[in-house]
Amino acid sequence: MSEERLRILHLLSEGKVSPQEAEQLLQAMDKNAVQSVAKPNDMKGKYLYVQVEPKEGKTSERVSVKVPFALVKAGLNISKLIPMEAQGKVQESMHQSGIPFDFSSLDSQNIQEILEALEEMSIDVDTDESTVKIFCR
Amino acid sequence: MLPMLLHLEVKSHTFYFPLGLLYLLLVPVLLLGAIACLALLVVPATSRQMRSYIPLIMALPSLLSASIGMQIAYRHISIHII
Repeated sequence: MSEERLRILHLLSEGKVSPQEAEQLLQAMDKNAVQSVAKPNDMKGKYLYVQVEPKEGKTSERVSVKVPFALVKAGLNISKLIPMEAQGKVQESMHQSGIPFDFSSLDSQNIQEILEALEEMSIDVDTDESTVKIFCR
Repeated sequence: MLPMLLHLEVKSHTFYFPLGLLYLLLVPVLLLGAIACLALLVVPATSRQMRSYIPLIMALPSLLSASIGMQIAYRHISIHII
């Protein structure tokens, strides 16, 4: 659960806001989240590349994937819109699979930080058969 | 704007597939989905749960539009969403 959502629920439990006001605040929060998903244009023109190139004389496969940054951002933002009940189920099954993932850790600031880190990221893996490059441009 | 064209390259052959056709095929499914959503919204027992899914449903077209420019190439096959 996000911090903002928790704060609203806390205010409700303390009686500082009425249930109707709390609902309005939560709806406004959801609307903001939808708008942030709907406006991925600030990342327009940037792509995340994954390239696998075989070395000379080697027969390994050539793979190239180019993913728009806007899609990465929209995908990360959309996770915030998953209803609480569904988030709980997803988290539970991920924990069972050994992946300690917490939806509440994905707030807008974290997403921005992840994207900024991705922009500067460059990974080169050199093997006998091929070279793998992951970068943003 | 939704992606409208799928550019497919297989070796030296180039194909263009208009995604509008795919969207047209999906219209009946979307209509049925919309009717199901409305029915779930009307039923008091499921209304609250359904409302929590609406922001997610509304955000799906933007996810699709963000996929414009995606390109996948494997061996001699290349797929480009335009």
